[in-house]
Amino acid sequence: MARPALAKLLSKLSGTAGGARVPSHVQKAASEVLEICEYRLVLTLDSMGFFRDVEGISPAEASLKFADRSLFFSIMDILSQLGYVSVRRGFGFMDGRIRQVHDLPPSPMATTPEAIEFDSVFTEIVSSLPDALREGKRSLHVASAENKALLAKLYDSEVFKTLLTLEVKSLGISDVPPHGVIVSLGPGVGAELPIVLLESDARVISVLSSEDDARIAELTLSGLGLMSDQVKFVVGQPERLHRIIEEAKTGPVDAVVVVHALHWSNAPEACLRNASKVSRRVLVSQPVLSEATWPLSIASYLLGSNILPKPDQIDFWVNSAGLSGRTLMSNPIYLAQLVR
Amino acid sequence: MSAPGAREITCPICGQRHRPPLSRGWNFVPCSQDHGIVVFVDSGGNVREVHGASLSKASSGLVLEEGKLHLVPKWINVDRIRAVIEGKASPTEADRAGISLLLNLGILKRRT
Repeated sequence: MARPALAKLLSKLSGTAGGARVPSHVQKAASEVLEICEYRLVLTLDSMGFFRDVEGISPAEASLKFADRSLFFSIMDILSQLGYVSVRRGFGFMDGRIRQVHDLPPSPMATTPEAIEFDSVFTEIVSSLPDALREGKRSLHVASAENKALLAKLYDSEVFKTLLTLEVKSLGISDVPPHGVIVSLGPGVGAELPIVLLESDARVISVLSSEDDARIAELTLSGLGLMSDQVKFVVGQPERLHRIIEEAKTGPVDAVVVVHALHWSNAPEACLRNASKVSRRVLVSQPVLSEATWPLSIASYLLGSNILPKPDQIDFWVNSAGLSGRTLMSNPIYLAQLVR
Repeated sequence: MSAPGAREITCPICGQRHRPPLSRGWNFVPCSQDHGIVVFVDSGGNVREVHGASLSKASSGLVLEEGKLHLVPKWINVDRIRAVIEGKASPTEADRAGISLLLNLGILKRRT
């Protein structure tokens, strides 16, 4: 079953990123990645008896069979979007009856090295799904240093690295002058940093939530030859960004870049509000739960994040934080250049 | 996150002294062609563990976790790391960063 949503997203982003080229092999890999992830997800759910457990009962009843209901409803959302289940004959979604309407898809044939590489990472992450659903235990949570390798590898995959690159390019950080300062918030281990550093000559302050994360980010930049006085690491929670930056005595900040970071925060609104206190200019790039981004949502969640938000949730956080401005895209990536 | 101040580390294998830039977590410090030092710095910036690591094919002090090789970041050349830990190549600055990163990610371990 062809799944072109992610490849289409890359094309769309290439427009907002000023026509940045997406290599054809990455485009092809993007389609294959979605097919592989779909197969792995449905296979895992099938093997754990998920479809049998939910067949013929309402989503409300079915949710009681699982310890992690947030994950259950997210999976139901994804399965409905992909056409594997439907909920029928009820007054509303919660009262209807779940029906499996599609069997396990045929095993996909990945032909690109990028998709084959991604398959092994996604397969490993999704192997923790049954325990997460049934027991509420996320055994691959990145609180454990060794699991951080999985998060780093997720963003090291060519498809997601390209996605991140196009997003950062679209935000327009190259406008920040070389003597300026950018504060960068990203997904855990600083996956956005090499891209931010290549896009801008400004000083970059990377805020990471643990020493381990900062260490991984620092070593990655060293290995890539990008570690220099241009970048400084600060450890702290993004919800306290204003205080952290004050304590770091960095001086005025020209822009705060928030890339794939909001779903890693338990208080995304506070994160944005704090960002707006640090700088008048806040640049946000946040994937939302969609046909193109669901593998990222599931994988990140199993590694410890929240489920990807919906665009209206982000609108609410942005408005509550007193930010407004230009929204370049709202779905499947919320991409906005905001000001206080 | 570099730990404040450089500390003198004495190689447990040859006694040579080094003042390497150490960061929190696991650090790999090359000492000579046939061995290096593995240093663990805790979150308070204190050196907690110092181990010698032989770099030779016969008795390498560091071992790659073969089941985790798919998690090695693309910028790290696994063959090159293997050559370094087996003493077939001298570590460069990028190798030092790569080895330290793999130690921190649990993909490279000290042979105990």
